[in-house]
Amino acid sequence: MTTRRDVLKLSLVAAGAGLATSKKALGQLCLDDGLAPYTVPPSPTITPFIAPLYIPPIARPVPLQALSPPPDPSRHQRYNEFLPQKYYIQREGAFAWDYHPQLRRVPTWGWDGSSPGATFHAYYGEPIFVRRYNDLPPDPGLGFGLPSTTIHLHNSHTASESDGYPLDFKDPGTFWDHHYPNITAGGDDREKLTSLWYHDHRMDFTAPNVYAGLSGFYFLFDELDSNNENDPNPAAWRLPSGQYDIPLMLHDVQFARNPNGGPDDALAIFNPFQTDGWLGDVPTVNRTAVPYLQVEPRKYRFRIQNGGPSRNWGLFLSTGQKFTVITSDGNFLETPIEREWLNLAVAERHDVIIDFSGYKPGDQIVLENRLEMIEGRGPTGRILDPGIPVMRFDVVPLTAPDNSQIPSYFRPKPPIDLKEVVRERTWVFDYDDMGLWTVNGMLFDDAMPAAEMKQGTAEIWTIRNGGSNWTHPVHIHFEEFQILERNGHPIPPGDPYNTKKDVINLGPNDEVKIFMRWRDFLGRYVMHCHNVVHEDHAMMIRWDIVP
Amino acid sequence: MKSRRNVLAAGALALPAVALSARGSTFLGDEGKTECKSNKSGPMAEYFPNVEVITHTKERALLYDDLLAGKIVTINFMSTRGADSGRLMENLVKVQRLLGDRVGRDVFMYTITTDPAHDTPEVLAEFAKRHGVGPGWKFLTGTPDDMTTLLGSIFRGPHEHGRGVGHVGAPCAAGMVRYGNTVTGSFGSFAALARPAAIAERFTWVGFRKGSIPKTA
Repeated sequence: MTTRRDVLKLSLVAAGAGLATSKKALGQLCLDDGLAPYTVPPSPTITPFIAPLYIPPIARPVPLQALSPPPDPSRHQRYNEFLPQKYYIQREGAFAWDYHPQLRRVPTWGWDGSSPGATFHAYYGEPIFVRRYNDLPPDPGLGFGLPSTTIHLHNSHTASESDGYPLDFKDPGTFWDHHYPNITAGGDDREKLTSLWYHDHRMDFTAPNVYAGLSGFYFLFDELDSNNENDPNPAAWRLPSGQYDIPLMLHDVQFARNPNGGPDDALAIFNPFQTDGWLGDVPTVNRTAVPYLQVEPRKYRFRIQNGGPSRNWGLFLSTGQKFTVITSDGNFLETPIEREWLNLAVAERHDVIIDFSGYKPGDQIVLENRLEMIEGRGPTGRILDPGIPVMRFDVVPLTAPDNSQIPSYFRPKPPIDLKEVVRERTWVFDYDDMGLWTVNGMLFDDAMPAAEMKQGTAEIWTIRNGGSNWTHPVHIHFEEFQILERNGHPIPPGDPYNTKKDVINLGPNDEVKIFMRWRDFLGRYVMHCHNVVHEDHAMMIRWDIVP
Repeated sequence: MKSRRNVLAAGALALPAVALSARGSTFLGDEGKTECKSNKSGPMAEYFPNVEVITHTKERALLYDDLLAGKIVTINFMSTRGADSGRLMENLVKVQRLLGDRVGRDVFMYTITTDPAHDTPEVLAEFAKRHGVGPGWKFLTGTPDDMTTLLGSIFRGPHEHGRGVGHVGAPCAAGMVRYGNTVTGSFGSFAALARPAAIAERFTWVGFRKGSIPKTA
């Protein structure tokens, strides 16, 4: 096999020097575009579809008395106005996790022994309070990561001190309190969110810490999306619920055998020096490697989340059946749309309905990733055929009639009133000639906000990908935005981007214009590329909401 | 377990075992590169090729075994002739001054040249002195092949070359500094031009002994 080093060595020889002195040879010291993709050894071979999909438990509240010391209202904006009705405790810790019968006892981080962490079932109008303890060992024990965490609930409408700001970290032996009022932005029902996820957001260490296991789900329900497919309320949407409402957290992981363990023991591998992004060759769903899930021939709601660190996924069903897409980034679309495939950049989410009633018991349907990606900076554009298996749905007999429904209409987008716009700004995400990820040529500076927005106002932001070789999924905290234009054109109806969102996937040279507001709270927040490896190289800015 | 280091070595001549650990191995070797195997272990051993380097004080050392293993370190790449070298040095020297005598005791700073043909130990020593570099911060050079290996390992992945490429000796990774703890494997990066106090704070994160860091740069 010709290694990159051999190629460079030949170049040096050709330049006529063992000790290179020519400019050409000096230039060879940087890797050129187009050279070999990363050469991490492949993960151990595993048998697909033999591990049952892990479904994390639902978070259980605790009595207020279980919190010692009690919550401190002075630490949370509008605490008494949105007094918590439920309290939760989560404990972050390290444990051995079985991803698969052939990938066992992998050192992993999570909450209360689970990765993904417990799923929150939250309701609009019912504020909650979550105390998270850091019980991680002071030495990470993984070979990567930093056991110091700050948990972000992406993309909830939360006050700054509960938002998981990258520098609001807690070290082992301490806790951080999060107040989640579960209110809509501006009191507008059209701003309601549904599927959220929570994950670590530690300055400089987000990629390895989330890779280690720190991610989980948070569902927001209301009287329409009521978590009950048999809801007697005639207005309720009666989407598939309970055991038929299943989150699917996608993380691509690279494994190696544990040299100090048994024959099936493994380690997750993460190289912090992979600057353009880290790819794993084993698809995991809810931290299960290439699992199977038994499904009845009826409708299911799957909440599909790209948990990163860097891969773009292109999901297809092996039978060619389409997905009925009902949400984008946790926002209901106005109407369900049928899509042949789902294109998910890091942090993007779609809730989909898959109706298995056209199959019979014994049938098997594979969920595949067909988007080729060989290096962290973006997909190649090739659609793989055959695709990479992600999980398999195995049809088993129906146990009860399917009373769930798919409404033909959900809710309108919040109206855009351009008269509210007080300012327009442009943000360019790029990579400079010194190897720094920049936003508007600036480095992240936690001491100084790059922008201050007055609470209650709206702005138009133009966000541009300054590079021609990179894909950047850009994420803005706190409120959803709406896309006015993409590369000069409005988003057509029926496009999954024709909705409010919080992650915008910027391909090479892409530019989007968005409308956004800043309501209800004050303080510091961030905007950043959600390829978390770029994020850890400071592709981020701080912005503040001021009175 | 087939490691990445084995993959890299696949095409190389196998050097006799005695030459690996001996400091006495010929600096340039037969092909201008040294074998990468390390005697030490640790989560980062695989990511730092254990090449032989020469410091600006003319010591020979194996990069991982002698300079990095068991330590909290910073690593960056630059060249003395690079157009940005002045700005980078000015800022990093401020960081060193903030950290005071902790550098060389609790934190070890390393700068690796990407212009080894020009940046000999003497050139590096003069450069360091000119910029006011204190003890505990070593400038490293070696064979072009080994410096290539190091840059390619510590800044992996194809890069887009933006404006300014073609400056003599300006590496495409000049702006980022790796920092971390080789015992625990906690490694991150900071921008070489970030605020010195923000940089200095990072060493408390990765296991640095707690101490007071002056507030002003």
